[in-house]
Amino acid sequence: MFSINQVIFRFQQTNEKAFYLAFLRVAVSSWFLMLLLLRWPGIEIFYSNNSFLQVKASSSLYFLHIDPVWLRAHYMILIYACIVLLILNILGIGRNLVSLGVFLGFTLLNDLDDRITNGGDVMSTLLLLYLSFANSFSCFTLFKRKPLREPVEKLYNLLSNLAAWCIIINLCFAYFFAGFFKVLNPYWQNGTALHYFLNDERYSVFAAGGKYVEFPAFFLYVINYGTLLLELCFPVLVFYKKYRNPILFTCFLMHLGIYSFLMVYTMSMIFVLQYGMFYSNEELLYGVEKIKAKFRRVFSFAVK
Amino acid sequence: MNPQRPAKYSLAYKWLSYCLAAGFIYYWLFTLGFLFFNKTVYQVTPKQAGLYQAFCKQTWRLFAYSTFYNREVELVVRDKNNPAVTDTVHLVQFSIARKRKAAPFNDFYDGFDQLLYWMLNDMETQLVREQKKLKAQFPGRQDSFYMRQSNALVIADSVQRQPLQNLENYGRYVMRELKKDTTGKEFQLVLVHKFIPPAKPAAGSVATGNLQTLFISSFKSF
Repeated sequence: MFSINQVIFRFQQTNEKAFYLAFLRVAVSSWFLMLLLLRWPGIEIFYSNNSFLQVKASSSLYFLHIDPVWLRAHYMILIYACIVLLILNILGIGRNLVSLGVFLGFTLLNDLDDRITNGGDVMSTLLLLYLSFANSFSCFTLFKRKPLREPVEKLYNLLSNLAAWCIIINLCFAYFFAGFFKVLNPYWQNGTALHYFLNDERYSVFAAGGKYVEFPAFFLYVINYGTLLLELCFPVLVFYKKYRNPILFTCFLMHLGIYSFLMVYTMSMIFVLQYGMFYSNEELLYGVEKIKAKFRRVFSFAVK
Repeated sequence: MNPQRPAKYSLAYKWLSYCLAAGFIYYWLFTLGFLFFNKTVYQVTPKQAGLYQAFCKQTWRLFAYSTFYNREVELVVRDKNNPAVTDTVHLVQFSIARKRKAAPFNDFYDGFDQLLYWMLNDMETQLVREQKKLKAQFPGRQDSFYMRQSNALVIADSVQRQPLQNLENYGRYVMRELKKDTTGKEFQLVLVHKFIPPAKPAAGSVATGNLQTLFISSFKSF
């Protein structure tokens, strides 16, 4: 059994996910930068007042007393601000303030037109929120971080570890509740849900051009019930070292299938990116050293 | 050195640590409450719920619901002088084909596809709302009656024109993208559900085989 005091004391000692938080900061920021650039041709259509498609802004903007018409009139300023903040965030300049700025910028952008966002965009924006509280500046920064005074550094470590656990709990909840709500659906219960997903023209590569596809029933049942079992068991098994690698690998295969056959790219990438949070700093750094050593061996001819 | 000062600071940092831990626990309890008792949470703590919805949105029901039909919007184009000759552009298939071609770097086309999906949602919501009012007003009629009447109400609705206007504008956009000449031509939109076997349209609905027609607009000029 553990007490709150013990947990707080442990979290204050060190930033337990220093390496992977830094990697996640760079990876998620790079992802957002790529997303903005890929959506660039449609920016005026998605965000401006002059678009030929009139889409209501999210009610969140009204709640925050932000006039969406005014924001839409200045959408390019918001977008350029997001780009600058993303580049600064990748370089680690401005630390948590810039990370928070990135989160706020993208929240506003998503609220301007939340109809073009998908599950992956929503999850990656939430990742930005958690990362804005974390110390993700131990590595991959332009300027080395100077440690703070001891009591403040301890608080920072605590906040960072809580933010890291938010990412971990968020992912566990995402899997568990995805499985939970699937189990409540009669089509997932009787094993036919996957048949309809694989014939959904919007997503399935098999249903391209309006084709109707039939897979063997055995295959559909195995994937259907396997998915339910995997998602429901994930939050429990992933914390046992014995089952961690097999379950993460199985989930990776599931996302690879979704990526390859259901054209769901952002969500698949964002989920897999977070798997490193289940490994300790030491395990990850050991893995990185092993990969570096392998590269040195393979490319040793270039050094000689 | 003042011996009182370190003790005060360490007390402040200790309580700040407890506040952070309490905030963490409260956040996750609130998340669970929001997930399962959404309406109650909104009633009890409207400001916190609004803030949560604004900043901590999450999708918890990933792939939980399957759809039994594929939607299609047919843009039927005809010459005003020769109405017998028509050309049909399948707007949904056009969107999906672009998305597929650019995969996996298809975020621009995926954004458009999402927009089209929501435009169709808005349109169908409006149609269902009108049909419900008609069924309450004129119970026991055939489905074709409700479909025709709800179509006419949606077309004539001058207040809630946005869903239909968006679809019409999207149709015009697709014709520009396909570089098709629209001079002297007019168009009509037809919303169709293509049911995935073994699912099929409800008995009595306006359907041919596994194709159910939901909406047919009137012809109008480009």
